[in-house]
Amino acid sequence: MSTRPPAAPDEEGIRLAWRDSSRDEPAPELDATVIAAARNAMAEDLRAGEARRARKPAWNGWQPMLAAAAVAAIAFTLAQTLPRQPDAGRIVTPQQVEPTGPAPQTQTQVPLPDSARSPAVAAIPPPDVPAESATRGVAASRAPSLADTAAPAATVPAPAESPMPQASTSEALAPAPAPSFAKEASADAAAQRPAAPPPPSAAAEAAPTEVQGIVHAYDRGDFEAAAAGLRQLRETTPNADALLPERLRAWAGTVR
Amino acid sequence: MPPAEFSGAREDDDAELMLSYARGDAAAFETLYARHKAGTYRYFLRHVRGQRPTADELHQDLWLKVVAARQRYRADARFGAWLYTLARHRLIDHWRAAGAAGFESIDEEATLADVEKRTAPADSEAEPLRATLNAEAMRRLVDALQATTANQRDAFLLHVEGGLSLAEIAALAGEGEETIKSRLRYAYRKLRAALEDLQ
Repeated sequence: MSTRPPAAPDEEGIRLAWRDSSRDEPAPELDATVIAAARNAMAEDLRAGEARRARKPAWNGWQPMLAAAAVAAIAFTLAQTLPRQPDAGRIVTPQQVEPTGPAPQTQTQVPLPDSARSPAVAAIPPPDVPAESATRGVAASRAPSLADTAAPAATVPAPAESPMPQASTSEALAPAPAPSFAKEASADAAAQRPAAPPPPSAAAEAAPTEVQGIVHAYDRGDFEAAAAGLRQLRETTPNADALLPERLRAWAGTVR
Repeated sequence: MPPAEFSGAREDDDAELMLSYARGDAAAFETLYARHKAGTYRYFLRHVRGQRPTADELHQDLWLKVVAARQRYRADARFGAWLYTLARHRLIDHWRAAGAAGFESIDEEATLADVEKRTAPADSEAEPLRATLNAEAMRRLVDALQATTANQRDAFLLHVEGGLSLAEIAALAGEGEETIKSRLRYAYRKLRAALEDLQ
């Protein structure tokens, strides 16, 4: 913005006189030359712009698609090369199923017969089975939940506390009420039901004994015997696995 | 046509016109040229002692430079200040090409007369007297202006023809405002004296 100093009247008069008198201007031809030069410069700018646009490579229009394809390829490659989750797709066998409730202090895994082992299960080393003399101690030291949830028939009392005679190990393992109750029940059933179908009652009578044998064999670490007993029980008793104490049922699921 | 009054609004518009021209608006340039062509032409004409061919050449060169600088123009300063900066540089180049060092060496009237004699075309014609009531006044003013130093004349022409402020003239000339004010004062004194007997 022009900021003129406060001019004296005479200076303003001189300025006005100068402007009034000054008529000199460039000739029209000179004006035309300047204007023509300005227009030519505009035309040059337009031509230069068009030349720049023409020089752009034809594949410029394909750049977005190429970029999208590159991103897709990278994503596919990453998806293929990323490591998969361990155990993904691995078949979980009942042998590996943990019982519900608090975790047991010792984990025991029953070795399956060779015919029944899966490759994953085969990798699991057999458990370190304690000696027979310590079986009861081990059994007594097992998690309370297993002992609590198991049927009374599965309770293994200490030798000093065992009311059973030592002559029969199977009987020593079995609690007193259960066998007698089972025997009494079978006797009552036989007395009260003369027409009872023999297979179920026979199976019901044999179940407790068979079960006791299976449990005893399992507890002393003779898993083959226990498995054999279980198979035999299954042949005669429907739902034989349900007769087992709950702590053996997971193992029973692995017996084929 | 007498030069139009300078106003702040028009000065802002000048910058917009120049920017529009840079963006491709040829009509904007034509408007800009119409506004300032008289002032720049008289600026050159008065400095070269009325030699029209020289003034034509300098005037044309100035506006071709404006055209060439269209993309570099930035509205950092007022358009008029920028335009007359280019004009002053072109004038100095003209004197240097003629062997003069610049405004300082042109201050001596004899040197200026010699320079214009060397640079004037052979068929140069003197500025004709105008058959108007203002012809005598104008002649006296022009003669009085020619009697000033080159720096005083330059300050006067930039102030009256170019519409530049004292600050702008000082910045353009590389001098202080008091120096420019002093130069203007002397120029007006001489012009006043030339008109005294006409009043």
